[in-house]
Amino acid sequence: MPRIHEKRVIDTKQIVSDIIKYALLTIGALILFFPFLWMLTTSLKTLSEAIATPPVWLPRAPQWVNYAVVWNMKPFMRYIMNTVICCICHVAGVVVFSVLGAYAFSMYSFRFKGFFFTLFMLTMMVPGELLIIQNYITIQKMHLMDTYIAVFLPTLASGFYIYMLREHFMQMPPSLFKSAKVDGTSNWRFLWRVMVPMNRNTIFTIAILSFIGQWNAFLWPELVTRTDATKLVSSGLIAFRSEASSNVQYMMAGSCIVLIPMIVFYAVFNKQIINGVGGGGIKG
Amino acid sequence: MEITLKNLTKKFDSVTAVDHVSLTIPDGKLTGLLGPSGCGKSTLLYMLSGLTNVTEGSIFFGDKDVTVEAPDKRNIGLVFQNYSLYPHMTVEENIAFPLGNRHGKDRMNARQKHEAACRVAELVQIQDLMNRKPKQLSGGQQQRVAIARALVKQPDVLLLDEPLSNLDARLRMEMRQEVRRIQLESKVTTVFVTHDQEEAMSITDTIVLMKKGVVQQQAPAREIYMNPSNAFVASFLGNPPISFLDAKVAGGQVALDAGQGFSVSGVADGAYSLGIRPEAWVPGHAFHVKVEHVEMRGQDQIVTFKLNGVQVRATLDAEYQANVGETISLDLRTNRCYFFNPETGVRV
Repeated sequence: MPRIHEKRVIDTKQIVSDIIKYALLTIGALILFFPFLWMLTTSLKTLSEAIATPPVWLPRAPQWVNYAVVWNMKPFMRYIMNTVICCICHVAGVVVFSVLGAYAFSMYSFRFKGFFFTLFMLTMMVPGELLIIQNYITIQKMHLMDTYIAVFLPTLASGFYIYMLREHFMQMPPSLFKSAKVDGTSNWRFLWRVMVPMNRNTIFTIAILSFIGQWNAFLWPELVTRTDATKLVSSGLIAFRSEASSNVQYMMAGSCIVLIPMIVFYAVFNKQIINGVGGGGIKG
Repeated sequence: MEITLKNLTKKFDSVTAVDHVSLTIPDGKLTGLLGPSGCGKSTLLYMLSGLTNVTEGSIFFGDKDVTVEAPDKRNIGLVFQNYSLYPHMTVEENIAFPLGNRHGKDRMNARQKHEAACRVAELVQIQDLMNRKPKQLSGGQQQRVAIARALVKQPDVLLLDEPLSNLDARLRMEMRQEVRRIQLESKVTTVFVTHDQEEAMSITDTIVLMKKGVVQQQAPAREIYMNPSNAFVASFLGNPPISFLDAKVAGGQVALDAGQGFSVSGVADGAYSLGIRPEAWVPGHAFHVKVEHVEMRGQDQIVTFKLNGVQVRATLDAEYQANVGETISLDLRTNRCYFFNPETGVRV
């Protein structure tokens, strides 16, 4: 399109409203950022600095040794690895189940389709905490207690993600499917060669949201993991709290350690996360 | 592959979209399914493809009854109005996609697929666009890709659903010649659906004109235009359209306005609906009419006047001086006039 020559008019109202807007946003950002900043500085303080009143803002000499101490108190590396493994399995499972579920509900017609879809949707109305007892008994009876599988199995099929993906699948022009059928394309090939690549943004959003969900999961992993071999960072941190007892600076250092992978994750997928939560989230 | 339809019927609940259609679509020819929207022409095409199932009747491809055969077993190529290209694949991947569905001994390796894709790409003249994505192509180019994809598996029948309706006027002219050329070169039996009479008349070997699910006439373009079987066929074809007026025939004389008329032979006495093609009128002396409107088209002009109280259009040479309000004298070429039964619309 040709660029239209714009007359520049200084709009005072606009500038004032911009200033107010950015000021409020800055204050909000600072408030949100403050706990993280406090965590970071405290993790580098000595005990007396950490519990001093009035509070000491910055350590006189950064106590990097805190990190070494904490790293050796608990197998944090193990926790992080456990979490990463569970997250990857969880994401892979969620993506596969969502894709298959959404494909069936959008492209196939079968008996009781509406009924089954409603059932899937109803699962969204049940709070996860309500299911814990049932899931716990199931996992125990399957002798899966204290395994990775126990951590991610109950949340593999998600009504919400199936719904979200189905909506996107249903927006595809039906002629694509028909044209593929005329060419003898199998449902399986059409799904993976056409549907999935064409909806990769949505699927990526689902992967990211489910990754974050699994990483932040606390109550369920805490219940089904018992040993350091399977514990995730969230419950590992809780276990560490009792050992660190009142050493606030160690607590903060531990928290910083478990936060690092998530920060890296956010840094790498920043754009997709904003798209996913902002766009895909609302749309879904 | 000759296609034979026997009593083919499609009902959607209470609506009959295609009503007992029996016809033969000739082998290796380009057949146009023509009709106003909602006449059942697309439904008929989709029944040929197998995507829409048949309520009654049967479809034969050659000697083989394919009425209940699945779409992929019919060896057809289908091009949709919106082209339905896969947006994430390149042109070559799009064209070769149907070949990837082959299994067993028909399985093709990457080189064979590439060669097959290149062969059809050359036919539709898109060999330079093989690495582009559909988004980077113009409408006409996308159409070519869609045709190439339909042709790559060497189908017995090529079905085109309103293939040119998404293109602008100039491109449509170009592409319809291309469709014709591709069809002639590939010699594939082709059926295409259109609501554009000019499109159908210009490139088809034979036209099947439909109305409300019923075939009105099947004939080559010249034949269907010159020899319409009923008033609907006569009115649907031709631009500007044919004019109808009530006429009485008595003793071989057709009486029109104010004592004006002409003589005919072989038409029994009685009341008729008389259809006069605009080009039936030529400058002359027999009819004196008052010009109401003149529409200049360049190569000719459409002159409107009243005859028997009905508006009649005539296409006259552009050089002929016709001014609004003046009276002009015209002759009528009676071979472009048709008599229809006023009740049934059937030609007499």
